[in-house]
Amino acid sequence: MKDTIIMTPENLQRFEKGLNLLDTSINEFRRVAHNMMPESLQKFGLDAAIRDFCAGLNNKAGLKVVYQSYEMDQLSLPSTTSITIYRVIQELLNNILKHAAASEAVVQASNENQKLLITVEDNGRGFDPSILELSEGIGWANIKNRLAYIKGKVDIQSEAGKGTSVNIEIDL
Amino acid sequence: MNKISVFIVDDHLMVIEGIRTLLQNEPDIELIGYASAGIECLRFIKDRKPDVILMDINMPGQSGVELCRDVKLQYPDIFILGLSTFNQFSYIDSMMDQGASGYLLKNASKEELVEAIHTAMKGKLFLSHDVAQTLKDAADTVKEIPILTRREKEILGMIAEGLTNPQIADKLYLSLSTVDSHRKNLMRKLNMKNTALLIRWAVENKVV
Repeated sequence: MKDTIIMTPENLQRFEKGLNLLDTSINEFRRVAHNMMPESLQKFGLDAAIRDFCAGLNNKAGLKVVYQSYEMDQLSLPSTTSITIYRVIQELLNNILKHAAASEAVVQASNENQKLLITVEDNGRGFDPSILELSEGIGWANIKNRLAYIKGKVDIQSEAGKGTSVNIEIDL
Repeated sequence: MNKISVFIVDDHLMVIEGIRTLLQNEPDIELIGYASAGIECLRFIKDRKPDVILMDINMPGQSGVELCRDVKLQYPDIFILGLSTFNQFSYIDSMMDQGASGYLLKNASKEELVEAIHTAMKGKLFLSHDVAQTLKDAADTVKEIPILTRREKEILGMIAEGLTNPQIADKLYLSLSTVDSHRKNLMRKLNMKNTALLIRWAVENKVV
């Protein structure tokens, strides 16, 4: 393309730079997009992707992860919804690994009455949920924002020493 | 004894070259060809049938899973070994579902690759060690008796006390339709046909 356009050396340099930036951006975009959409979510759907993720964590770092799914296998969701749900479950399980000191985690997803009910719970050390209001961390805010975007509702049940349950509800 | 004839299909030439190098000094294995896409693979084996196909899973166009199905339908006696960097249950499960004789990760050693080919040739299954572990971990995510979540236990307790759905919704600050979904899901999950049976189950299992 460059060969067919006559331009000054300065402009050529700018053009080259622009082209390089574009290349870099495309590559970066591809990398981010890839991260946003895990392969198995794309290929096999939400149910399989959650199962894969749970299996991947299971028996590692001393954590047992159980996945229970009901009426999820035939579910077809818009990709924004399934990515959001997948990311939130990922974040919640990562939180369990990082903070809960739990030996067991249960992930449950059910699809009933056009409503998705998702629970992620653990038997770890628990905490006082009111601290989340004051917390500066972006983890929880991130989860709430993601869910708000797909009109999901979320509540936390937790108590020191009694583990944590996060219940999520999404109207389909 | 005849050599075991092996064919490779993978969209990455380096992988094919790598496998060729690994296998070149094996006295009883002969690499008869390779392809970089499913369609080429099907074309090749129409003329010359290999004993074993080493098959990549993530390929543009026809995936390894689909190719495995197509090859197995037409040539049930060709043994297929899935070959992937993905050590995830869904991939392994779909390959095995389509009749693959095994699943190897691309970090496999030469010994493992050779063993896999020989094992497949005997009509047996071969799984890389890590793949077998993934299958076990996936199986472990399933419980025979379902676990009730805290919310479900709460709701079940209130059902057992005789509370109606609106009353439960009120107490837990949930919408009526949410309570209703929970109740229906509980019945399904525990395989109970009605509320009476559900309550009996809860009592017997000391949930309430």
